[in-house]
Amino acid sequence: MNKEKKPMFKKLDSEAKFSLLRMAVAIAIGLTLAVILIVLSAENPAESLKYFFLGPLQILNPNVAKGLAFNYFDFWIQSMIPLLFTGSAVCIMFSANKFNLGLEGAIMCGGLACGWVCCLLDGDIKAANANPVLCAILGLLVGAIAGGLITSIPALLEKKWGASVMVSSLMLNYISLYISRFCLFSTEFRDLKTSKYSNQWTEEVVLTFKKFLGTKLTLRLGLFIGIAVVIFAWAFLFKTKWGFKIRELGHNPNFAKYVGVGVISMGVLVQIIGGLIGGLCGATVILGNNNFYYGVELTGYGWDGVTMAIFSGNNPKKLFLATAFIAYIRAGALIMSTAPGGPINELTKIVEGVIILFLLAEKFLAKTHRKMIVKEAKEKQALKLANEAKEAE
Amino acid sequence: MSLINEIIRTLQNVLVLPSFYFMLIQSAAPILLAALGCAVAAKASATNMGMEGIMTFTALIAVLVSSALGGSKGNGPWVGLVVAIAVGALLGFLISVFAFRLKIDIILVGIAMNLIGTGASVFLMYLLTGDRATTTSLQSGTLPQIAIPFIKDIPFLGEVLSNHYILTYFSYILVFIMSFFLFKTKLGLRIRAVGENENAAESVGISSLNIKTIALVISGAIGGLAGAYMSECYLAYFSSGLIAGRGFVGLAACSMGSANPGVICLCCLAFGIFYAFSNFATLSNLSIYALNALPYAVVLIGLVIYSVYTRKKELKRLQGLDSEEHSENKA
Repeated sequence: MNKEKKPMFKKLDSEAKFSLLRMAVAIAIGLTLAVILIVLSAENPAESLKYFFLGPLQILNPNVAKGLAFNYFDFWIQSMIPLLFTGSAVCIMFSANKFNLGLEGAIMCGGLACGWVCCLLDGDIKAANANPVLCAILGLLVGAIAGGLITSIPALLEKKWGASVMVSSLMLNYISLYISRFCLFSTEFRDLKTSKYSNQWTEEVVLTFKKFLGTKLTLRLGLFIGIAVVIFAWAFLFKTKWGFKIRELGHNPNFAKYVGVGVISMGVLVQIIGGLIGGLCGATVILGNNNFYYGVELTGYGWDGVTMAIFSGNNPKKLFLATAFIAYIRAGALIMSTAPGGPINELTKIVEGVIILFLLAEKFLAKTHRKMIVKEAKEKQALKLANEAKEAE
Repeated sequence: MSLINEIIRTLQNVLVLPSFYFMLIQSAAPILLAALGCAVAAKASATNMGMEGIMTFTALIAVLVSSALGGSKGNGPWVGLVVAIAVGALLGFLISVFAFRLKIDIILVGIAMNLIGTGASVFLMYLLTGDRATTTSLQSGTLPQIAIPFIKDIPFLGEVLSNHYILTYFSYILVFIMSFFLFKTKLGLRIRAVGENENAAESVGISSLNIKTIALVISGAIGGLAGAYMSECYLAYFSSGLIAGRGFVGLAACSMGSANPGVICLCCLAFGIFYAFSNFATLSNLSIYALNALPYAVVLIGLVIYSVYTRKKELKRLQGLDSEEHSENKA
């Protein structure tokens, strides 16, 4: 067995090597841009850069003494959680070539529905004191269903009447946003004392999601749910009959139709699954952080999902690395921006956009690509000739 | 049902006010500009998904340039407008470079452009003004309003049509310019040819790459115009949520109007009714948030109606072809 095992790097053909190279160059360009932006805008560039690159690794916050009880490492974990969900949702939808961009709305409505359920079960509105664990589970479930409903609307509109999925899903994002604001400000869901947030539910629900290990580490249940979702997405896409059909549909819809894949129903299915995951994401984020709902702005997590899907090449297996990387940059930027005189954390958006562009550019580094292919072909040819010569002997 | 009744009741109250129509013309203009920008690109079969990002970024640029030149006192707003158009054209060109020369799916380029546009505008705003939310401190000023002689003295009509910003008038004139450009000029014909059938266009010696690039540059420039409109006419400052999906609504209006300027204008006016409507929330018992959601809901419903209509038309056409074949066979 051991003899058959080859070193990892030999196994990569020129194609894989090249895609690795392109990713490295794209990330290098992005990070260089980040450094330039930070140096240009920070009052104290050296300190800001230190926060940006090393901040998230600090488990113990040096500022704890000053009364800031943040745990910087926790920022990293926290920014990773939504990315895991939305990344897998978009991976599934884009695998079937369905550009449903309604994930943003699904997250919004998922969080809203979840918050409402928790308020009803365990909150101030009705004093039906349910078990917090049951409350959390029901919240997640209802949130997921709400998300699935939102993304299924564009899917069904396309199935029934051929309306453009992209346009209708974009409109649904804004409709969801205003529904959320409406519920938050104009219904009994609103908390009259703070008027910014919803009614509260019991703190115990949050505590089932957040376990404090000692004083420094927080164990977040959301992370584990996220990881489970990614594994589900991977297994669904690559280990089931449906997943195979979906990928076939994305590759070549005509061929898929010809071999009998239900093109339309598969298209609807992926969007509903994407929405379910999106709703679950919204619910997890709400339940994992606070005991009230506060969705007054679009979260942007839906677009993050697109970024993550591009980074992982629609393969959920690679999502872990991709989310870890992006979440690290974001946590770093957030830490940097909270320090006095630091630049605004919005600069990660620019960096992400630039990395996406170079990551996707087929013709970027095309010359190097060609050289690598030629080199590989020559090596193979030489090997073949050598073998032939051996045989001749 | 009570919700719909309430909407109808409020509409009845609002529809008699001249200020409502004034608002309608004012708030349909940016969507119209965005949609016309998307239409040029769409005619060359390129989806300009990055319209939102282009509008956001150029809106900020217009404000920054204008305030640097002294705001309303000098020529600030005008220079801001020109620079915004130039920057928009540049962004359109960048989209074309990434999409056609570096071969990325144009929708994904658009998404990246939105990310960069919104990120860069907040970054720049914070860097230059120290404010994360708005640029109200800059005193960037607005473009001039025009009172049209004679019309301004007509009782109802004068209040509706006169005293708009100069860019508002221009955006409606642009509908005609765009129709003329797309359907009566050589370049317009080429853009449509490339959009209809790239290979056929190539076969008669049109470089589809160049034509698509030109279309996207024009699209970006109009996007710049729309951005400047938002921050120099609609409001007198830039804020991070200023565009609020108007680029996307423009995209929707463009696809509903099948990239035809005249139809697009009608769609935008229809959406404008509901945008304007949300400004009159005080006249109704409806929640302002429900009213804010209305334009988007109407776009969605409009999209469905449009899709049903085109599908029926397509079916009819196919049936027509069928019966023609039959009659030919009989003959």
